[in-house]
Formats: sequence, structure tokens, C-alpha cells
Amino acid sequence: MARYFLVGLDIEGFRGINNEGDPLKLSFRADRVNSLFAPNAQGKSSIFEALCYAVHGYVPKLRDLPAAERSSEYYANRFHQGGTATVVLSLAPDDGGPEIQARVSRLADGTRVVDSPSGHTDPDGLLRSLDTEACLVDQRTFLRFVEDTPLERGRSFARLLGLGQLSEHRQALETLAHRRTLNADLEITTLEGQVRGAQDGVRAAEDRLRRESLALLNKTVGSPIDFRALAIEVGVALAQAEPLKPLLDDPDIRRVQWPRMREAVRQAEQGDKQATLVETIREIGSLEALASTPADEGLQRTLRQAADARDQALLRTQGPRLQKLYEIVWEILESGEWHDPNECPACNSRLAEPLKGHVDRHLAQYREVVERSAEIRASWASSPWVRRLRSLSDSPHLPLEKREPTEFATIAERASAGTASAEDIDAAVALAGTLEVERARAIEERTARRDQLRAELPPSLVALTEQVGHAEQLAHAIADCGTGLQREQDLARRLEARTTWANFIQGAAEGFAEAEVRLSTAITQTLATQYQTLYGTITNNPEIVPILEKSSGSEDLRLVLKRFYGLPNLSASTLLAESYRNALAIAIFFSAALRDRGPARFIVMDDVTSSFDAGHQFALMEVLRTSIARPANPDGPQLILLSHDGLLEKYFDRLSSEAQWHHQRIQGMPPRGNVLTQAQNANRHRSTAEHFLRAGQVEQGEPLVRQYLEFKLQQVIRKVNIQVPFDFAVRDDRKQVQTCLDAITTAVDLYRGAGRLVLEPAQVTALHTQHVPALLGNWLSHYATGITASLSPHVLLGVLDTIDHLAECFTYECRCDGTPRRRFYRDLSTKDCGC
Amino acid sequence: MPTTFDFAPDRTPQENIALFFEYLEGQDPALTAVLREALREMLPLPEPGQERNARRSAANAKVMASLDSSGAGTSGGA
Repeated sequence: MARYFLVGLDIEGFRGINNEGDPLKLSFRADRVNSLFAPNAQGKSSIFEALCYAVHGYVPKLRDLPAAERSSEYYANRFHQGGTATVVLSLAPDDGGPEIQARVSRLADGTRVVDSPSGHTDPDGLLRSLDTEACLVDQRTFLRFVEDTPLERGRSFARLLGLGQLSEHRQALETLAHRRTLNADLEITTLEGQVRGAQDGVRAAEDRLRRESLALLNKTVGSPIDFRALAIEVGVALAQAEPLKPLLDDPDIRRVQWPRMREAVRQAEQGDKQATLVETIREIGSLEALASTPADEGLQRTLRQAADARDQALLRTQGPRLQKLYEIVWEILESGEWHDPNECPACNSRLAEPLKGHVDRHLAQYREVVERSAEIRASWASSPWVRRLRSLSDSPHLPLEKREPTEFATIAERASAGTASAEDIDAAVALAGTLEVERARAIEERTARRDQLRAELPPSLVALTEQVGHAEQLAHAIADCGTGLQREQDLARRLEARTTWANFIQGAAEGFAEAEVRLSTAITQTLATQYQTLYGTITNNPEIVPILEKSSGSEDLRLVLKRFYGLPNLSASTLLAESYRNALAIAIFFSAALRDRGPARFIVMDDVTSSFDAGHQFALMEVLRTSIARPANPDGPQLILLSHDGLLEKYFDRLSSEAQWHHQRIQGMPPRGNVLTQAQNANRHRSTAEHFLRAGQVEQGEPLVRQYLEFKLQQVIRKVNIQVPFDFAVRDDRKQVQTCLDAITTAVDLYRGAGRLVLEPAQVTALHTQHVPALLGNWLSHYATGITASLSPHVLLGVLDTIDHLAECFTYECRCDGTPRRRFYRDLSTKDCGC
Repeated sequence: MPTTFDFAPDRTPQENIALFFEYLEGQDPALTAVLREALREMLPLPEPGQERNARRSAANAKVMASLDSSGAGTSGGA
């Protein structure tokens, strides 16, 4: 898989960079360390932000602002007439393939559009693939790494190691495997209750069956019950009675037509008393089946507790309106539009802690209500007591005014929805008590009626009638057993599938997590030597040895000081000074980033050394240059350093003449004017400066004169290989021009003294008698004191001419290709050709 | 499920995830298919909070439907 170097960046209309119609063009070298310097407020941050926008899709600083700041309106440059921000990345594959350009535009309405001027088929996908932890880093990246919670550090480190996808899968699996939510989401508890309910139903039907069997056959039925044999045995017994015989060719009572049986008995009796007796016996049977059981009290208590717990949970919430508010606030906090984690988007008040925790606690109270509701639903749906109560409430054998079906329906509706209160359950229990009394009374009435009928009917017919009644009840009990067993099996099968799934997903999550821990622990251990060495090199302090400790049971990653001035195992976050914390984060970052084999083979670092003093800055830069980055490390990343630090710029300047370094400096007039690279646009600086000065605008022209001066003098030094003093790179920034002039005149004098100077005498004279004195008098004596405002536009125009003339002194006329042209001498003693 | 699976240090995360699913398929192909569907609901993963809860509920609803309709996860199932 090809990886990509960043070789070019064009920016127009983005943040501080206006450059309308004339984009800022930066070039980077894949085979060098790249540095870019800009003084404060010259557009450097906008360059880093443009890269962030292109790669991440947002600018972290803007994303983290409160929504009230309307940061989305500040991506485009406020002075750009078109209102469109454009960033073009030029990427060179490391397999030698053709260069790819990906252009990201932010239109005036905020829409982000990605296309490819070079014709790449998926430039958006390409940019997304570059979006890794290691690609664009700044001071915040490192501070966060040290100050994050161990969990967040572990996750960001996993992303840095290129293991972000594993971390994400691990989190997804753990979310799916969370036991409590799994039980609720898959309704496992409800299903368990339903299975128990079905089993209770079967047991109740079996009890009825045994009771009727005893009454009918005077026989105790054992377990397991052979339903078919019992049904035939009863049918054979009934068929002994002549009136019933014709109806029992098939003796299996499960297929008997009971109305026809009753009619047969009625005809045998020649009256309605027998039918009434049958009906009475049937009613007694069905009422006896609804008898309360010793388990009822426990079932009622379970429901009452669930309802009471819900009532309590509901009391802790603040009503549905505030629930909506909390949900909306949460959505805003989650959306990325709100970036002060401690400020409330609803009232703009600030908390001492992040608001998310506060809102989540409130939402958790609402979630608890939902969970308690599920418990009520499950208990209500599975309770045999509820089923009996429903049957009693529906029973036509009890007086309507006592049954209160409307009240029961209301309670049942609430309980089925999980919203029944403890009061509702109490009402249901009270109703059950009333109905139990009514049931007993109804049985008593029917028993008396049955006895009366028995006395009035011939004994043989009474016996037959009773046999038919019991047989019918027994047939119903057999049917109920069958239905109940089928339901129980169905529910048990579903429960088995869900329980198996729960075990499967928990095992999968556990197995994945353990494998991830083993892998990342192994990788982390292999990095230890490297980051410890790197840290020691940057800090030059062997007394402190850091170590990363990966937790075995979570994604936590702890930063520990394995040794701190002889003391073992102390907290790095707590003990280390800011610069040392930063150094530690940088050391760990680079040791991990070097493992990264993702599509981005470049690292852009924006002012990451702000907390370092000069010594540590140089130590870090030297480590990066000599052992981390290309070209010293051919397998390493292309490094692009952005800095506003004047001391670092001297370091960059010193190295820029070497083959392994590519340095650029930008200056301009953001946010209204153009931002330009010095080397690329020196002539443009000159013409712009001239334009301002001719218009009398000294304030605008002066910075450009200084840029032009510095550029031309450094150009002379580079072109003719003038040796500079040892401390050239670290002298005061404001004395840059003086330092350059000193280096040039000293070198010229040296070569002239040795009789080896190649410059023509007129050039030497002009240099010493005109140009250098003019620059000293018209520029240096003023600029060094900071009073350039007193310079007139004419004087500054003269400075521009003087510097051109000064540079001319180091050139000769070359006629090698037939056309005369000015070329720089190769050095102060030779020309570049034979002219 | 025995936890003997290990990621290969020389493989990419994608390859390692594919290996993990192969390993799960060796344990239970039907439930692995259900898990793939569930993860499609879950990934890419939002930050912990309401949205992640909503994704989890949707994923588990899908899991329930798959288990009920396919018979996966039962002794006589797919």
C-alpha cells in the first residue's frame, strides 16, 4: 500500500489567509526535514488549521468554542470577496506513483466540497485515510496525552499505534455484552418470567386434571401424564352408560362434542334439571380452578415492590419536560457544536465539573424509571396470580358490581405498559381479596344447588351427569396442558437462544478484549526502550525513567515513572514539570508514530516546543533530524515543523543550506492582505513594497522592505558560499540585516586581503563606499532602534534600490549560451563558468 | 467460549478483526452472522452517551429479531 508525503499546500480565503486570486503556495520536500517559520500573526496557525480542516474536516480550536461563538462562520477569511475557503494538498505516493492533488473547498454556506484537480477518483476517501492521530500534532496533542484519564489515554494511544479500529471494536463488543442492558434489551428477565408463568399454567392444568380424574375414575394420576391413555380410559368409562355409548365410538374424550353429550343426558332424563346439574358442576369446576394459592402473596409482593421502586425512581426525576430538556442538552453536547464542556447550552451557566456528567446523572434517573417499568411489565405478564385475577374479573359467575372490570382493565393497562403505581397494585390486591370472597360464595351457592338437584334426580342419572361434567373438565384440563406445554416450549426456546447469545457475545467481548490487551501490551513493551532513550536524550536527565503500563482488565494506560531520582513507581502526571511532561509525550508519540504504517507518511508539528527552553528545543530538533525523520531515517516519516520561535528559526536557517533541510519563511499582512513565502515571492514583496511606498504608505511598506532586505542578503550569502560566524543562527532577530552585512563585508575583506577576491574592483568599491554605508545609514541605524516610522517613503525606495545594487556586486555577466545574463559568482574567489 | 484467540502483531487491524470473526465462526457460525449484523448498527462508534445507547438498543432489536426468526442460538437451531 502506497503511503503519502505532503509535497505542496495551496491556501486561499481560509482563516487569516486572504490571498484573493493569489493563493499562498507552500512546497515541502519528501526527502528533507521541512521547516516553516512565521513571526506572530503572520498566518502560521492558519496554515496548520487549513491542514486540519482538509484532513479532519474541522478545526479543533473552532470546534471547541462554545456554540454562541458561531465558530462555523469563521472558517472563511472575513475579507475574501468570494467567501470560499480553498485548501489544496499535493500528495506524493512513496511508491513513485504520480502526484495527487486533493482540493477541499468550504463554500459560503459552510458546505465542505472535496475534488481532485489531478483526477483522483476518491479524494475525500484519500483525505479521510490520512486522518490519524500521528498526522497533525500540536501542543494540545501532547498536553492531552499526559493529562487525559488513563482510559482516554489508552484509547488515543491505541489510535496512535494504528490500533484504533481494534479499540473501537472492543468498545462496541463491550457495549453489546453489557449484562444489565443486555437483559433489558433482549427482555431476558421478561422471558424468564413468561416461561415460569407458562410452567405454572401447566401445573395448574395438571392439578385440575388430577382432581377430575380422582373424581371420575377414583384414580390418582402419576407423572409424567400419558394424556392420550387417560383420555381414552375416561371415554371407555363413559361409554359404559347406554345414553352415551353411541357418541363414543372414538373413546378419546379430547375429540368429544360436549354439547351433544349433555343433550344425550338431558334426553335420558326427559327434562332440564340434568342440564342444570351439568352446568352447575361445570361452573363449580371452573370456579375451583381460580382458587388462590399460597404463592399468590409472594407474587403480589414482587409486583408491589417493582411498582414502589418505579414510584421512587419517578420521584427522583424532574418530569417529562425536563427529561426533554436534558435529552436536547445531551444531543447538543454530543453533536460537537458545543465546546465548553462545563457550560450549559440552555442557560450558559458554568459548572465546576463537565456538564456531561451532570446531565448523564439526570438522564440515568429517567433510565432507571424505564428499567423499573420493564420489571413491572415482566412481573405482570408472567404472574399466574394476575391471570387468575383477570379470569375472576371476567367471570360471568360472579356479580358484575363486585368484579369491577373497568377498574381492573385500567390497572391492567397501566401494568402492561409498566406504569402501574404501588397504589394500583394495592387496588388489584384488594380487588383480588373481594373476588376471592365472591368466588367462595359462588361455589357455596352452586354446591347447594348441585346437592338440591342431586336429591331431585334419579341417582343413576345424577351419577351419569356428574361423570359427564367431570369428564368435560378433564378434557379441558388436558387441552390446557397441551397448549401450556407448547407455549412453555416456545418461550423456553426463545429464552435459550437469547441466553446462548448473551453467553456468546460476552465470551466474544471478553476474548477480543484480552487479545487486544495482549497485543497492545506487547507493542507497548517493545516501544519502552525507544521512548525511554528518546526522553533521556531530550531532557538529558538520566534520573527519570518513564514507563507505560497497560491495564489487563481495561483499556487504561498509565504513565508511570519507573524511576524518579531513585524512587520507584511514581505518577508521571503528578510529578513532572510541564516541559518534562511535554518531552515525555513527544518521546512516546514518536516511538509509536514510527510504527505507524498508515497512509500518511508525514507528520506536521505546530509549535510543539513552546514549553521548552532553547537547550531542550535544540536537543529535540537534533534527535528528530538525526534519528527520527527522513532523510536520516530512510524508513521514517517526512517531518514538517511549523514555528514562530525566533531561536528555532536561527536553527532552521543554519540548516537550510544543507541538503537534508528545506526551510521556508512566510510573511505578509493577514488577515486583509496576502501571506507569501519569502523565497517564492521576494520580487512580489519588492513590487508590493514599492507600490505602498509610492503611495506614501510607509507603515505598510516597511515590513516588506525588511523582508526583501533579509532575503537578498541571505541569498548573497547562500549563492556565493560566504562563511558565517559560529553564532550567526542565534543572534537577535532584529539584528538580522546587520549580521548578514557583517558576514558579507568580513568575507570580502578576507578574500581581498588574501588576493583571491573575484569581484571586480568597481564592485568592491561600490560595495564599501556606497551600498553598505547607504544601508547602514538609511536602514540599520533606524530599524535597530525601532523608529522606522520616521523614514520617508523616498528613503525606503532608495533602500530597495541599494539592496539590488548590493546583490549585483556579487554577479558577473555570463555569455555561455550566447545571450548575456547576470550570474552569481560560484564563491568569492571563482566564477561559475569560464566567462 | 474459550479465550484462546490472539491477534497477530504483523497483521493490520482489519486483518486481525477478520481473523477474530473467522475464529468466532469456528465457535458458532449462526451467532457470528448475527454479531456481524449487530456491529453494522454499532459502528462507527459514537461517543458514550445517549446516541450510543440508541445504537445499542437498535442493534439488540436486530439481534432479537434474528434469533427469533432463524432459530440461531438454540440446540436445534440454524
